[in-house]
Amino acid sequence: MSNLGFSFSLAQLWQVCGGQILLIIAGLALIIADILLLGRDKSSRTGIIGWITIGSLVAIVLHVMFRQWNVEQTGIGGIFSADRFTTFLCAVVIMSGILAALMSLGYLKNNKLPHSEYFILLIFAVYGTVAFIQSVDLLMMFITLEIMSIAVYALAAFIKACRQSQEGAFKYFMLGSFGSAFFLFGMALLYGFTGTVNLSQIAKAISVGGLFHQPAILLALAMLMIGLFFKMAMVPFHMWTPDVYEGSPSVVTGFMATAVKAAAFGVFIKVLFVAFSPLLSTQSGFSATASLVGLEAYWKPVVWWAALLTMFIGNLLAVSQKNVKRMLAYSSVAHAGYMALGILAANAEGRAGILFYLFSYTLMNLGAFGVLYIIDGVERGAQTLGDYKGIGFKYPGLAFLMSLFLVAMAGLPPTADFIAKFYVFSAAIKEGYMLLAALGIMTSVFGLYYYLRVIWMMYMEEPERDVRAGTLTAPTLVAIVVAAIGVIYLGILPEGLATIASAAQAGLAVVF
Amino acid sequence: MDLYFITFAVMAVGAGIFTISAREALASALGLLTVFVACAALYLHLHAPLIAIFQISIYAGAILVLVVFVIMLLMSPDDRLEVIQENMSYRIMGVFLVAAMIGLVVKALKDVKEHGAVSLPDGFGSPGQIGEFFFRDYLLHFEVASVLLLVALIAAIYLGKKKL
Repeated sequence: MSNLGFSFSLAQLWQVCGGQILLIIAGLALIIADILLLGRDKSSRTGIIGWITIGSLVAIVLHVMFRQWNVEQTGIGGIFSADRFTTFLCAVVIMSGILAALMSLGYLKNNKLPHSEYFILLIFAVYGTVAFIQSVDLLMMFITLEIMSIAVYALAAFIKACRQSQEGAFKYFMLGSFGSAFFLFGMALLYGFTGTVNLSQIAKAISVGGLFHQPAILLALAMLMIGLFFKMAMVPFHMWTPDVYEGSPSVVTGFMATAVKAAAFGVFIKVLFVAFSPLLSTQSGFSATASLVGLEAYWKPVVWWAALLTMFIGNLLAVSQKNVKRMLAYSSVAHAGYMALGILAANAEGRAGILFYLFSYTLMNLGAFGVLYIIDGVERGAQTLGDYKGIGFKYPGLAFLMSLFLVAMAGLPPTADFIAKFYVFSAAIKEGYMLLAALGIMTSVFGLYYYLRVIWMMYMEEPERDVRAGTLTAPTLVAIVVAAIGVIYLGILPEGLATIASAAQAGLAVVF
Repeated sequence: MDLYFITFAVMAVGAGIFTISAREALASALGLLTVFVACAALYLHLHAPLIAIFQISIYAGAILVLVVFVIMLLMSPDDRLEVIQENMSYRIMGVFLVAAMIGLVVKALKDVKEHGAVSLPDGFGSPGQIGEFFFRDYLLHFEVASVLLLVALIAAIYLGKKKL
């Protein structure tokens, strides 16, 4: 770490965080382009900025997928890593950014919000998530966590005229800062004890002489977990989710529920398995860290209960919601619980399952929010269950797509989420968590009820009032159709992505 | 534990409690100022003079002045904070949570002594060493923090400006 000054090279920086550099360049270019386009009227300016955002995100995701995938090294003095696990998640969050940007073009038009700052904040939010996932250094994690969070707070408050948007964003800001403070405090404790903020160095330091049994280390781990559970929306740190998801612009909600969640899960897996588990000793010759297996007695019960409560509370509270967006918020809490099963399993299948889950969840959740904002017309135009009555006949295409995404979220075959749930549940069962898996499958039956209820409303009930959907623009259509095809494709032919995901999770232990 | 530490630690905690329990916003802000100064004194004690200077100049100097200005502009003299503080259940829950938290931290830090203190390197906390940290070991963090400021700036301008 202290020799950074001498090992620093631009070539290495480019190799390891090329995606990040491109994102920063794109963000700065957007700011300049925005100034250059000052003469035009607002909506065409926003459109141009939006298309530049989409173009650069597509280029960056290609760079990440084809260049970064083959780089296997920790770069830059143990600050960022470019292993396959990281690269996979980076691709997921950038994909989420692309879908969100495509939908935002239509969303901003429908809601008459011609502000180009939206895309600038969006691209910096994507930058924050990518850098957050790539960091293997707690201090860098904190800084990038804040970049991601601040950009998303501002996006959540983007509808300035709307009280709920402001209120939700402010709640998110307050509770998010609170969560970040826990993360920071845990980091300070760990630094005080081990003298390093690098994950693998921490693993090395705390495995010496059973240091990890010390309450201070456990408290530090607990605080890091609290900070990340906030972002993952795990019970009991889910309180902000419904208000924020309901208040935010629908597309931002979709981005928040996918990219931010994927980043938080990725970082949590990194922190837990690199710094606090014997993973490194099994695969990369850090034999000294084998004793960390003793830590499992501490964190496994916590994750067990958190997963159980998250699945139950998320699904049960979703049943009683009258607002579809709020219902999807609780459903996103429930999905976090299912993903946590993969963490609890702590094996290769579990981690690969989470990666698969995050990928498919990104597709179906963003797809659902895309359809939702169109049915909405303008934000909060038609979001309640009553508004969805009879939509199936008026807007058959939209209703069909919505049904598809809801069926996917319920985890029915042949959709991607069925396969994803199958992976995480089988990983958990393999490790002997029969009871939790059984309870989890039981909660997904509640899930079935409230997802299918919306479909029932759409096709089987008479309309309560005349709902006027907004215009469906071409970019949104492309994004939704791509998401729909992806959801079905992954449900029928999951092997391709599953192979990539399991190769990706193996990357976790190769470098560092 | 020496007298210097105890004096300023008690001062910081006491002023902190005063800050959150004061009935008037301005008094609360002055309580915060005391917290900042007491913390700066503690940093000096921990051999971190530069951090102490930052604490005084940035927090006590710049941020608190901003806070006072905001109070001056937004609140009329008759405004009291009681309305915001009237919910008792939150306070009771808060007391429980704080007590649990303090218990945990005390339990955690009690063992630190047995673990053995690590001696600080020469020149720890001096401006020179902090500069070296900033521009060598943590150069990348320093650079990325500038992106954080940029994002916060864009967000603040968008949210703060009425007509955009």
